[in-house]
Amino acid sequence: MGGTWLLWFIPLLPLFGAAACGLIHFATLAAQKGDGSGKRPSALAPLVACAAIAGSLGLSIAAFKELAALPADARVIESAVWEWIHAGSLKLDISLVVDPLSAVMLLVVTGVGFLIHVYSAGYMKGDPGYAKFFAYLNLFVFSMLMLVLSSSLVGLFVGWEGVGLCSYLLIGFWYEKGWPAEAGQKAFIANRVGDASFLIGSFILIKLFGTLDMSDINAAVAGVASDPAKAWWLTVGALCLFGGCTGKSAQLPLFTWLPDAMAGPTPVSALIHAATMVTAGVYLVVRLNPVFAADPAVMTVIGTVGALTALIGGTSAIFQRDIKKVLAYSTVSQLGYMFLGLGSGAFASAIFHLVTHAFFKGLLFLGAGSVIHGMHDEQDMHKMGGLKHHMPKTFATFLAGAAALSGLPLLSGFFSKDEILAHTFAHGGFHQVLWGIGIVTAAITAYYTWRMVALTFFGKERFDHHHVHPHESPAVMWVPLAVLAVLSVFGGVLGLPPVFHVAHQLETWLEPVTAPGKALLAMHGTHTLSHAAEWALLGLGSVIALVFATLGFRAYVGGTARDENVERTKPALADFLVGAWKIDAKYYAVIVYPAKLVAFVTAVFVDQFAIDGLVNGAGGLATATGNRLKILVDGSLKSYALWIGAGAVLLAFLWMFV
Amino acid sequence: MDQLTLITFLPLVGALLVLLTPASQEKALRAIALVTTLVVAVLGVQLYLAFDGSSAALQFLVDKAWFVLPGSAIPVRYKLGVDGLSILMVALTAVMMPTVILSTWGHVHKRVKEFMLWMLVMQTGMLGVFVAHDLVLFYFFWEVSLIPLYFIVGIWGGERRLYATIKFFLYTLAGSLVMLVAVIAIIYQFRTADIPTLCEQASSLALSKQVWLFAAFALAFSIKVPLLPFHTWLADAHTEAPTSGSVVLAGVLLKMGTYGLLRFGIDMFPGAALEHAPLFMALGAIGIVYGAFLAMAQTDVKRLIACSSVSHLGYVVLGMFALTYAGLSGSILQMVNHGISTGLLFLLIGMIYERRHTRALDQFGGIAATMPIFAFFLVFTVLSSAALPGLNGFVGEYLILLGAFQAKPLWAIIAVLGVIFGAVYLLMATRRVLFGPVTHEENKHLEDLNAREVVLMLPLVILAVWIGFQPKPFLDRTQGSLERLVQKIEVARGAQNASLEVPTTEESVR
Repeated sequence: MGGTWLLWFIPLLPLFGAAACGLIHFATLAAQKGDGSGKRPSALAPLVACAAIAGSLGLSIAAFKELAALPADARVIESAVWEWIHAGSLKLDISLVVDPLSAVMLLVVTGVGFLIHVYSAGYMKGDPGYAKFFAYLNLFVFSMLMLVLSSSLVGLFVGWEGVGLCSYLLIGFWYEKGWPAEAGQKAFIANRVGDASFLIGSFILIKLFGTLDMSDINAAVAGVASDPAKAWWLTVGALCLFGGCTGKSAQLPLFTWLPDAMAGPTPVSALIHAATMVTAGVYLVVRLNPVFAADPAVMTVIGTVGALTALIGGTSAIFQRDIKKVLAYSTVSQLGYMFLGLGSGAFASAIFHLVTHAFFKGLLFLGAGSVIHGMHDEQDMHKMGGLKHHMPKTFATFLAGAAALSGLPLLSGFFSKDEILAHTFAHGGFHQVLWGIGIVTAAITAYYTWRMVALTFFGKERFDHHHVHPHESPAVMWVPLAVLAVLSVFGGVLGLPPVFHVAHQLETWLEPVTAPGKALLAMHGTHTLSHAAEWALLGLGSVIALVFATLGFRAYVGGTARDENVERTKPALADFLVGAWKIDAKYYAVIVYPAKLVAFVTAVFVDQFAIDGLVNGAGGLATATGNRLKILVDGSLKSYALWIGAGAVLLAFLWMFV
Repeated sequence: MDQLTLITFLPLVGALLVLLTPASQEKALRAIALVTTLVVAVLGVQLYLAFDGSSAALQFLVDKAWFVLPGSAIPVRYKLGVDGLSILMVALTAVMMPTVILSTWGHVHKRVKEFMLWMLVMQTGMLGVFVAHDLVLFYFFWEVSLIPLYFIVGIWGGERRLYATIKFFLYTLAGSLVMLVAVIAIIYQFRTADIPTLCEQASSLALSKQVWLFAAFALAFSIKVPLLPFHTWLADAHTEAPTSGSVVLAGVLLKMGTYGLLRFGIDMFPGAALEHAPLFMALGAIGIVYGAFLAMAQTDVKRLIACSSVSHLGYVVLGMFALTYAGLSGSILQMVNHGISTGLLFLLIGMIYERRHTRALDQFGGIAATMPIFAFFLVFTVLSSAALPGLNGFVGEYLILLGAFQAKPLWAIIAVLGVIFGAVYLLMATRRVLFGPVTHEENKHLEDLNAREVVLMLPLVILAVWIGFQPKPFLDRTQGSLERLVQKIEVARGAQNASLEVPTTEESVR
């Protein structure tokens, strides 16, 4: 596929799909208006959308195979170049590149994306915006593929903003309700804050490297970093780009939009807000790993932000009642893990966790969606309970996802999380403090995950039997669950730890991409763990996961008494945690409301009174002249010309002769 | 007849036809105006396609003797031409007008004859401003383009049209006067009205005199742009103008200000421009944020968009006075982009106003459910205005911010805040108009856009996507002229540095 336009069809197929679904949407609207019937949209849209993604998936697999057949150090396939922005010597072109990293992302995005498209065909059935939903979903996949395939940072930014747009549209999909539209707006604006930082980062890279082609930048980092005058700019640039990541990947300080984003339909939460879009920041750091690795301080910042976000997200999930909110905060927390790993230079481990997380968190969200679907749009776990009998397939797959998320031994999440923690521990120094935070968060994760399982599927049925009749979801929904469950259970084989004496598949595969960053880090010393230490960490991880999973499960298997107890005895703590450490509330108090006030003061006092008054000649003069000039306004061209002429001649004479 | 004369004066011929048609024949009047502007649009596209962007020379040049200024031997020539600084403006002016004329079907119902007359006269004026290369001729077209708007707002405007017209008139008068002074002074100084000659020779003037002339031109054009703090006439004029008037004002008339700054500020006085660039960059960057805050506080949708114009034009000025290639090219493209996206916004607000007869934000809500086609176009336009990559706005904004960063990082960083605030006010307004439950009975049975309304927006929508996906041909059109201009600026920079005697390092220049 190299050098051709064929590679372009990977993102373009979903784009065409989006356009087709959009047309179907408007055609349906026209038909409904035409015959006045409440005719429901046909099944054409999901077919088109799924076919488009299936096509992309097929092409991605083909590209992956072609790539794998190449020798390890030559694994790059580049498409034809799209000449985009040319201004003088600056050339911002976009080409698509499949290398080991983007190949992994490709498979995740199109693979998990395809499953979620299929699931959505069942989940969204009957919604008046059925076709529109698939248009947005396909548009999202197009943007996400542009993000992971672009060779240039500016092309990546096209996808980066595109996924943000789709996220905005899909969070606010049920806009009639009001609050989803507000949540969408919040997500877009929080992301814009990150994007502003990203933009400045890109300007700095242009200043330093004269290009935004990421492979050229990666190749030149070592040279730039050795020049003290430029190294400072490189550090600032890396931090600015990371600022962009905190928006897109919901890290401190910009994570507060993600819990609100749950207002969107659940498949959206699974695809965008768990499996793909929110991992874009992780992808960016790995893609430009030398830029970040050039300064160890930047790495420590990334690791610290990751660890703190993991902790805040995890603790915030503990007492949530809304099943989707638990998963949302859990996602914030797990993304924090990925950045924690990145901060220690464990690039491959972060991608490993990204992949397993896409499996198990996508699964959990879809499972939650199946529960919500079966419970007639109920999301409060306090009103669930005992669902395992009613929804056995959802239950079984959900268990697999929960086990993987909580890091129970030998499941996918166990290996990927353990790997991140092992690298953080091995990195030593301050990173061992971060490791401590990671371990605590692992315990919390196991606890809230099994609390969720117990509250939802075990114990007494706490819903109203007269109104709610829980039922299993149709095959179109549970089959994707089953596929993801298998991946969640066995996904760990992608990266078994060294003590198992088999090659780490993913790490070996990503080696050509991560090598430059690792080389830069190695200049500040290398870190390895002895096998004994590694066994110890694996053992510790297993014990913590098992113990806290049991604690969480046992505390809630009997019902909701524990929550009520905490709310009664420690209301402040419960409030603090449910409100995610009150960070969002502070933003409103410190940023949002003052900004509105400033806008008001600017518009009324500064603009209308001060500037307008001043420039008009203190208001009164304006009115006075206005009255006198009425004759002009009545429309005499002659007097207008006369005024201009007379005044000008006068001034011109003054200019020349005075 | 040569191409430029044809394209410039064809609207005037249309105006004559309108004049000869009885006022009762409204359909015929509208048809004449539409056909005329459509032909001009085709000619404009042709001109754009035939234009060679790699050359810095004036193309399609017409140069004929006209008259001699009385009391002197200074010749005034009929000189028309197009270069990379003006080609996109000419094409934009030509392409936008059919849309504007077609939009009047919905809101101009009285004195149709006069309205079409003024619109066509205005088009000749606007095209003339962009193609004239004799200073007297330029000034003539400048005035011709201004007077019609003054009638359009005054006669067909909203409730406070009188106030808005007087204000607009006073500002315009002030700007025109200042410019006329400068025009006369520079003509007598160099004994020529030929703009290319003046652009070559003006920098030979002593810096003290150069600065005064620069200031006069810059002031006149800054009022027109409008640049902070001369912007307060704009919100009133926009709010009171009929939809079509707002579209022309935002789409083209304001660009005469930015074009003037480029031609008579930077090209004519590169030394003075370089000296005062920090001031203009500051005003541009502050204007971006200031305009965004103004927009955030508005309750009238049209006024909100007017305020957003202040913000968007701040980008244009910021990029221009960055005096780097990226900044200049982004700034020229952004002039086009602003015309497209703000033009579309005014059209859309006009369409909803024609249905609801209100523009108050709190009168809407949930319109997306009743008018899905309208909702699609509004969201599209908002994204174009908010500079989403893949649409037109991004390309211009990115180049401007990059150019500004290369020149003065501080102002770029302040301007980047506009990227955030821009999204805030645009999305807030969108949400309040389109989303949420339908709370007003009147909004439950609104007619969605009709075919005419969709068709008239299509050229601009297509352009927005086209520029977003393939900006290169548009940027290439400006290449030759910008290379010339950047080189001129570098020469001026060199002269300035030499006069400072103390050698400066590259870092401090950046």
